[in-house]
Amino acid sequence: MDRRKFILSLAATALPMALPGSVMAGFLDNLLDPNSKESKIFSGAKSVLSSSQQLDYKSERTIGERLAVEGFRRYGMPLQNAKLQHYVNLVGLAAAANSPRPNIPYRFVVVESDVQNAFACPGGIIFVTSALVRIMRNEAELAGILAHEIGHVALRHALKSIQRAQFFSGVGQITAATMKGDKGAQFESMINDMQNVLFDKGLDQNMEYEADANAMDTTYRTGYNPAGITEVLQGLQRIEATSTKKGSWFSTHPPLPSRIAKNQTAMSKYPDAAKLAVLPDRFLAQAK
Amino acid sequence: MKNSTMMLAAAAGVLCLATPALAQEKLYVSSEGAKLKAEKSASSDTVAELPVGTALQVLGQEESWYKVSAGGKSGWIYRGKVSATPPEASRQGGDNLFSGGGSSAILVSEADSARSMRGLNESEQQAAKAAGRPARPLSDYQHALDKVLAEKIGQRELEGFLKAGRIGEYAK
Repeated sequence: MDRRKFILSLAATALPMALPGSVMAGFLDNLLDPNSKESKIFSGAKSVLSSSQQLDYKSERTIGERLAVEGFRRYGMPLQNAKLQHYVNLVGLAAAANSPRPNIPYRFVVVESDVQNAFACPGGIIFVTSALVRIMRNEAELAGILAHEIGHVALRHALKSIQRAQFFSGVGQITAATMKGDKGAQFESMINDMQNVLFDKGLDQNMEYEADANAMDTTYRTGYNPAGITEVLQGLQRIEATSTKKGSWFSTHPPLPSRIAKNQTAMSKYPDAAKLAVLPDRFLAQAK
Repeated sequence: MKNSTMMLAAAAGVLCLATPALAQEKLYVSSEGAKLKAEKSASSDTVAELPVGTALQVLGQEESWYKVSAGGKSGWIYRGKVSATPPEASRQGGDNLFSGGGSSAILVSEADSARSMRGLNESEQQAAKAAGRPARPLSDYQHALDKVLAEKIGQRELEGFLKAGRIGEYAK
């Protein structure tokens, strides 16, 4: 199989993730049951879908790795600071272990950029810009931002946002043999759509609220003060008037006041939050 | 209904919610790297390593720890490692985050051949122009991504990191 066919056949296995949310839930589980409705519907696509669910994750990851390259092009290359990159991965993995999707291989990268932003590629490659790290003051805040992005990956928000892309259509019929020509063009078009969502338009507001709630829950479960995400939002609010908007957290996320207010209300779920880890010293030693 | 009656009814409702029948309660391991400990302390002996999805019978709760039993063994587990419903991961399977030479390494190596660089050549000129920077050879991006994916952190290093920061179950 040549490289292109291999890529496309991998990409075809991303199809289940493109189904509407209600169908998505439990889709993979049902597929594993040979008597389920889902399994029967997709029996025509056996050559793709029976090749184990790990392949499904791989196709999600393939899309994510391509998006990551677009992220480098759009925002900047990884910051040349191995100590900071390793530290960000430690904080991110600590949080990811207690996330709703703990068992995929997440990776975290700080890219050199003057624009404050963070985003997540499907499959778990998570970007945060150096400008956003600069406004953080402690490890709980870093954990909050990373956990917000982990939430987008865990809940497959980016994929759900482009589920109508033509690339994902015709799931029942797709096999490696039908993945030539048009499908290749549709893959490129789907990647463009996803870039447009992640880098310019932003995800649906409710997805952002869901990711904030997830960030608070995940950091709390890990043992960080769950107020970290909200403190970063407040930091962004302080610099909003003087910051670049295009391609930033400001243009791709819902208005800060409504998010801060929602998060502050949700803090009542965490009565012992103030006793949990914040770690300003360790953060400053690593990040500054 | 009189106000006082309503308040009593409400209070009774709250009490019902606040006192779960612990003997009946079930929880599920929902985090990677969860351990059943002999005491309610991360530094106590590990009774068993608990995979994501393991069903736990709750025997009691003290501070941030649940006393639970699973598979004939009993011990303590930190509250952040469990949830009331089975996590998605246990139903779906997936890759082990910490397998240094295992499934995630395979993913990384296979991803090299699977990585789609098609169509990038034409658009690099445009992207460079939009960002106000010189165009880069595509191999730069490939190397940058390879380096990100090659970052490896083992379970032991992560536990040491949590312990040093006194985070979660390592809090004093």
